[in-house]
Amino acid sequence: MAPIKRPIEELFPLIHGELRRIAGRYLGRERKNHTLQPTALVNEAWLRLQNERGAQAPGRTQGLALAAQAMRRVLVDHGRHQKSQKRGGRLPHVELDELLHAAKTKAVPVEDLLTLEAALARLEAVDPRGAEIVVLRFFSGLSVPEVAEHLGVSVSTVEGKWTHARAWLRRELQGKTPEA
Amino acid sequence: MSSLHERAGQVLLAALARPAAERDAFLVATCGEDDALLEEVASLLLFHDDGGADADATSDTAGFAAGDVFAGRYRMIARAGRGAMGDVWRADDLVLETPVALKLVHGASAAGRARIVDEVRLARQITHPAVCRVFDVGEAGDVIFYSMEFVSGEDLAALLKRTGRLTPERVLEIAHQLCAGLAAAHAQGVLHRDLKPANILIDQNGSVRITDFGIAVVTDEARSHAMFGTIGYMAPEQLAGEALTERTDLYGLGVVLYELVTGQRHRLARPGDPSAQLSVLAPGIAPGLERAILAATSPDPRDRPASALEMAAALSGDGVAPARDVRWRGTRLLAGAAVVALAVTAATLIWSRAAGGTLTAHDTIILADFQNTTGDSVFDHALRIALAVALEQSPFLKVFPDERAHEALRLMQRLPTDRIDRTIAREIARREQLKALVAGEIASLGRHYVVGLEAVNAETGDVMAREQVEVNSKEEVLSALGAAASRMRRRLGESLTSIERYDVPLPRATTPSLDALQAYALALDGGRINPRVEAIPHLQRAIQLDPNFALAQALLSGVYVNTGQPALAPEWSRRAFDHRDRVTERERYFISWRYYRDAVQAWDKGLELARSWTVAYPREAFAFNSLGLATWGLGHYQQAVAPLREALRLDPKFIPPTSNLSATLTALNQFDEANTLLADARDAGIEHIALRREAYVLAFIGHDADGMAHELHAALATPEGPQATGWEPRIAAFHGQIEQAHDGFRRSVAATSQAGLAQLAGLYSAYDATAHAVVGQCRQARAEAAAAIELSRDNFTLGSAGRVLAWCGADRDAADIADELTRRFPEAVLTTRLVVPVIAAARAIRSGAPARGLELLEAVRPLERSPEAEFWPEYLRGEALLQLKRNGEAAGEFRRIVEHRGELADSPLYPLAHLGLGRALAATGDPTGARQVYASFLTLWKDADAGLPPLTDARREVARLPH
Repeated sequence: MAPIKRPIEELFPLIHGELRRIAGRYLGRERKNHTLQPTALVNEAWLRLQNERGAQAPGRTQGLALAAQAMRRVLVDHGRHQKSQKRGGRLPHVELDELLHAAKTKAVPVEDLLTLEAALARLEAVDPRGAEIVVLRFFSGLSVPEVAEHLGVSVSTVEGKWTHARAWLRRELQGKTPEA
Repeated sequence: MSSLHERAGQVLLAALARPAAERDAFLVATCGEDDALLEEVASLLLFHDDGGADADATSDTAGFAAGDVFAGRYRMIARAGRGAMGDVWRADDLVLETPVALKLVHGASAAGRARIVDEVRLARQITHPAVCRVFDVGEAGDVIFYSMEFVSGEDLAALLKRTGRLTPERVLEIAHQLCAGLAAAHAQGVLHRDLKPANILIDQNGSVRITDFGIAVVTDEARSHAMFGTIGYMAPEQLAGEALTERTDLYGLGVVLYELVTGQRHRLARPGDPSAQLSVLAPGIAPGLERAILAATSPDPRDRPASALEMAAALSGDGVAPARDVRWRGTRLLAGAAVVALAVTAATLIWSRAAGGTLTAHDTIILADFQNTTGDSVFDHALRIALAVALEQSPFLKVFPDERAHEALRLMQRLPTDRIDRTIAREIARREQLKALVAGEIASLGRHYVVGLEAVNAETGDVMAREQVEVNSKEEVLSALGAAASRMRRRLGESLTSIERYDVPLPRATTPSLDALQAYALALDGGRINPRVEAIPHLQRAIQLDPNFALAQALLSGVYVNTGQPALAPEWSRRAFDHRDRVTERERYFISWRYYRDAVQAWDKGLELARSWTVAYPREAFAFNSLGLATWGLGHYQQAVAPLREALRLDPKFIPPTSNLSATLTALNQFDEANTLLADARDAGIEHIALRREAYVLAFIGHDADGMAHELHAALATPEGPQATGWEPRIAAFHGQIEQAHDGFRRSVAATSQAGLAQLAGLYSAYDATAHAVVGQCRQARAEAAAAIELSRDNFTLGSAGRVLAWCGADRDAADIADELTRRFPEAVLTTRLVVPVIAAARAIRSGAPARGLELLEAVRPLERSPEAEFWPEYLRGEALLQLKRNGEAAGEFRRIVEHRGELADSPLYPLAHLGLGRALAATGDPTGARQVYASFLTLWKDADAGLPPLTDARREVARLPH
């Protein structure tokens, strides 16, 4: 698989900025219930970028993958911001399956996303590839074959890692309350 | 060593590929002493969800997917279970705003549905901490559903499977809670009627929850064939259709407790003194608990405690004294069973079957030779083979492999060729702890034939099932045998669904020609899975007699591949593949595997096939070997270990996984493990040239010249000897003794050609070419490459020759070969996605375009650990990077070869990679490191031919290194 080419690295700040702007509307301080629909945001950010950059934009999967990374960054930044605002805020208990399903169809509480993000970061430490697959599936909304294509591995490899990562995350999310 | 997480992932997936019931056993077997791994995977399995909530999951049978709202009230979250009568879903009740377990029952009659509604209404009134609350019941279309409190935990059946049994203390605790729950239900006038481990949950706090009060039975009754599943837990009066009382539930409770404390199913009809059994089976059991269990499981309801509360008192041991004398109780037990058996005809049938015993999915049977009194020798072997095909199509039955039976005969001081009659079959069965033997006979009555089958419990000698058919002609014998075998499968306990799914008429599944079948049987003498050269003439004859005999064709393909003649295989595996629709499902997997593996070499498809094969036939060692082999072939050595070990566990005497696992462990540089494995195989008397080859390579790695000589001579003495003639020249080439290698390869080309092994001849000639090419003798290399292609135009030979020609600058010829490979082997992934791009990269790098070469090599990364890569991608990359002065990266590439020696221990590129590494290190300003690897190279090449360019260059370069 060809490595991600340089121009795409340059695109990251752009897409990150784009996302932060869109997400900011939902996360504004004046709003009470912070909810986001991450897949929709990621797709929207990517589409805008494509409109702006035209031919210079990366392919769909690559663009979405990039946008997903940016989305995570937005979440992490938001989480940090929130934490500095209210000390000792505990993240809520999250059901992975509900979240995986809900994120595709509607907005979900941003707290849930932060919990997932924290768990993802821990998964990343033991299984970077597994975490990458979850990000691509969850945030980018890519199908298993698309993820396989993107990573240059077989569909069965992705399926296997996806299965493993889900069980791991389910346990992580159910087993303990993560630190905020 | 891979991380715990990585290993856990592999084991998890392997476990998930098995039926849920077998996962725990598999985990224990796979994890061995590794408790951390076991714990990790077991916990992951608990959190695994069978795709119910997977975003990609297809909707279930009822037509909805996770997230859907059902009946306007339940948001389906995940499917928590799947049963014969319907599914259990974890759902959110949007009205009550609470998570529930939603049970859906499909296909119940109107009357059945009405009874379910009635029962649920009753059950709803029970509120007790030990009883799982029932909330609501409803109907949607022809689905009836009811919701219960969602309990996150495990049922006792699963717990028992995981732990074997529980401590008497824990059982006592559970017993008290169960009594309390039963008492609460009985107080509402509700009987459970189907108490069994699967209906009792342990929640996350360790508390007991009884589920399906009164409902399980009505839902069961709403279906056609009831009872079978839970017969062991039903009280005699329930079996007899008599009135049920609270004591009926206490009987179920007693049986459950018996199983919890002993880890064994309670058996009412079994002769013997149960009281003695209990204390033997569960040492440390409190007398109160023991007495309570015995009393509760009395066949006569009047001998049981009168109520759940009385039972609870008995548990503590201070209440009810044992009602009667124990010896007397023993006779009563038997009498009770007899009364029940006589009382109800319908029950008698079930009863006698349960007493005679059925098989479970863990039992193995052995086939005795047919007793043939017809005087027609065509029946001697053919019928037994046909019976094996007929029985083995069932995923439920495992037939003891012939190889193993022959081995057992040897241990019994008999000849492997001895007839396995009933007595001997039973002896083998008892030795090998096989549950039953199936014996067949054929006799002639005038012009008619009578075929009989009998399944016998090996331990008791009791007949478990008997079938007999009479047919009018010889031609009908096979069909009749197949039909009898299917009926026998049913009697041995296989479900009707399974039999209907896996039931191909025998003449179609095998061949209508008894003579062809007989020839096939002779070919199988050494067993299908360890094919040898001697089988070939028999198979040719079988195919001559029946040109559509798919099994024989597939086997012939396998024999060719495993005896060094793979070029002959594709024709046969293709023909078999064309006929695959006629054979049994089990054979279809076998045939498809041969096709993907032998004919088109589509390892990726083979891998997918093998994966579903292991799921469909989780007891098939061949399936696991295929899965391991495909994984190995694609270069995923670590992942190949588990399936290969599983293949060996299923069949320890099976040669291919032994040699494949040895090769895999060697590739992982786990030489000690590989040596141990081979030593074990040797001790078990297993002998095969493939194992000799593995041992030879390991001896080479271990600098054991005597060991190498021993293995080589032993291999040369076998009928497959010519295959081994290329081993020694490879070693000479490795050491830079190119002339000696050349002489040796010429002799081996002659020997293999003479033995008709054209492809091996081509390969050895290509090895010769490679040996010349890599040391810079391009003139000879090109000549040998041309000779190789003359000998054989298979893809291995072509690929090796193509690499040599590209490396030696014969650009046009190399390009032609690459085109031919792409055209002729479109599905052979390792050829199209590995060998062909490597040839292109070699051409680029040798024609002064290293950057282009590197680009081409990017595409082969996913496959470059495959054995077929033979270190070329790394070596070429190293060379290109050196040219580009990217010396640090070049060092990395060469180092990967040096560090993965086991992947191809006799590769001529291994010593040369040291040289490359030395050059790269010298260029990065690490003279000390460089000097070390130069020294290693010069040691490996200490006896090399004088004047070889790499040798003279290395000496000159090392002398110039700064001190």
